[in-house]
Amino acid sequence: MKKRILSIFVTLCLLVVCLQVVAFAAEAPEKPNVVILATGGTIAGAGVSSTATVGYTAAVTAVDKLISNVPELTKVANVRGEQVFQIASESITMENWLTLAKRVNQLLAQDNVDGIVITHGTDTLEETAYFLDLVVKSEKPVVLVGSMRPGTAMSADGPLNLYRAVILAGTKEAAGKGVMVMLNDTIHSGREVTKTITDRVDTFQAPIVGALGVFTGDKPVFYRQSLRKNTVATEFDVTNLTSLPRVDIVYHYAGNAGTMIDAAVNAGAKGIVHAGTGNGSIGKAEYPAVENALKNGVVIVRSARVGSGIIARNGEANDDKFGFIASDNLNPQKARILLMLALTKTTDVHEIQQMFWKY
Amino acid sequence: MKKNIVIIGTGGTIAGKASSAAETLHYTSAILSINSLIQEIPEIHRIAHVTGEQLSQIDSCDMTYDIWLQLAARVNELLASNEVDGIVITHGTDTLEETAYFLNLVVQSQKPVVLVGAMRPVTAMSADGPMNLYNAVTLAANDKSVGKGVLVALNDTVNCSREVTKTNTMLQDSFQAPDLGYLGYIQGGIPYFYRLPARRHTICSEFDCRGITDLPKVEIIYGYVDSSPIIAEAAVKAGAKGIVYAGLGNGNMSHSIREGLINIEKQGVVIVRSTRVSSGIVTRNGAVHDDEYHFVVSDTLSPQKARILLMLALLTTNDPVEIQRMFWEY
Repeated sequence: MKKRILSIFVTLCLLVVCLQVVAFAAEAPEKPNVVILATGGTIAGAGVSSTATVGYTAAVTAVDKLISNVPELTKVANVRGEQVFQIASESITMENWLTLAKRVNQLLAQDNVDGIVITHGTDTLEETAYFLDLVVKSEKPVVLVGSMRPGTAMSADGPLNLYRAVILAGTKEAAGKGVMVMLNDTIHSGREVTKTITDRVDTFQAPIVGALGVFTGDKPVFYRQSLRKNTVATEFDVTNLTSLPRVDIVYHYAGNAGTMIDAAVNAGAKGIVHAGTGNGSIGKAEYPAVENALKNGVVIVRSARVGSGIIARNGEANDDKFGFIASDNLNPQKARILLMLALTKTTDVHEIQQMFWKY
Repeated sequence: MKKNIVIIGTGGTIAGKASSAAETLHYTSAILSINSLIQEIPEIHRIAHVTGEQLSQIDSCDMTYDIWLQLAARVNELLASNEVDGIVITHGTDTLEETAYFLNLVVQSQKPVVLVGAMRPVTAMSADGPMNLYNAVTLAANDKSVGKGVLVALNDTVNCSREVTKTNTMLQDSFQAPDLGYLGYIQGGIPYFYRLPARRHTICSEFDCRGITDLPKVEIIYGYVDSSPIIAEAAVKAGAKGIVYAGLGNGNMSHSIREGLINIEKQGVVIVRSTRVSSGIVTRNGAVHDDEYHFVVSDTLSPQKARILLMLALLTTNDPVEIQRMFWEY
């Protein structure tokens, strides 16, 4: 009997030790290695007072300061920062894009990098996100983050956005979801997300198709994933690119006679994205300019100025006859990115149309 | 006592025909005459004395200044008559929002003016045109609609022409006013209003296009990564007196675009900063120092609406301070 009690006691002791070991392991899991690539923007901006939410200077705070401002980051990841450039995002260039994409690919090829966060101004964040979505060659998470209020403002949204972006970039479930955008507790796909309001923290939305997921506390929760091909599944490769083909966007409106199309052609555009009215309509008065552009070998993509919805191929224009491409539901600025990348591979309009259905 | 309503036909999908009832994408706009559209809905005669007039027969993406001026002149002429209580204009949906805001600024009457269109052609199953037209007539014939500015009625909703915009390429609920919402609904043949426009319109507007035969040329330049000012310069060379810049975010622009627009402004061209994002105010002296560069901000007007206000403003002045006042008031 005594022996039996002893054996139960020993078993219990072992169990307690085991549980403690398990508990310890749960308390200190191996933290992911996340690199923060800083590019500038409002998230690195400073105003003259805590109430200055307009009229501040973007892109002044260095990445190390952004990181040290959020000490909680070290609890969720091994974080290090790199200042890739320091600009307000309205002044980003193709050269910046290529530099950034190449650095992202370099870092993600390393075993000691699990994910990347890119701090970015909100003005062109959606463009950089879609560009990277098409050219990053890794399934590891890449998250773009910005803020609507400068770091000096009351209720600045940057710190929490950055904190969550780092968590997202270090989350295994976030792998293979394409390049994501993280602001305002919401996880968006780089393909559809767009800035919809000039000045509010809920500005980033994906019209009709919605967000991929949300944050609840420190936990990202996914409800959707993109059906379109991205990152490792695309045919685009920036490794040897030093520039991108010129593509201009022209906006359609009542009384427009195609002057802007002529101007783009004269400026050497290889492609034009037409931000058409309604379902991507082109006005009759624009057709002489359009036909001249086509004659000059310029590829024309029909997109729309309306903010959401599919452009029906051969709907408002005879795409087959003219050799136009319908942009699917890509807004003009995103259609431009896909067209630029497409033009690095081909000028064949059938092939480019297929790309627009695929990406 | 039934009201006298004139329906002016201008074309569009609401007068469009496709080859089959299932076809909602490939059709020809602007085929059916206004009188045949009226004949399709005999119920309309129960609510008003209706007469039709064909002013144009176009797909609205081909709308011109010339048609705008003719339309404005005809609307003013009709509403000046005691025989007319209200006007409905059938219009393609592509530029419906532009024509509506244009008229909102130049119609010289408090009587109801309602623009209406359809997202599906007449021949389609569940075509939305007949109900939209019926609703538009009930709206134009209702005393509650007086003094509310030019209205837009599709999908059982009443929108204010200043803010309404087409937000989706094909859905029935495409017409929305971002952030600010509808003025009201139409339910069971009765309009219900919840809001009034707070901005100047119709008889309170200072704009008058009587005797005008052409409008000043204003072009919209769209902002995007690494764009160059060449396009804006081309617009000026082509005779633009004003440029609306559909800027990034809060009407923002790159250094090179800013330098280009500063130069253009020095040539006497008025620059209005609007935004490519679909809602929100463009902050004066926010992203760009407007005072220093003599730029004008568009308030919440979309690029296409900012363009209309700028065209009308340029009829009387090219002073950016005066034009900025107009952008805050209209």
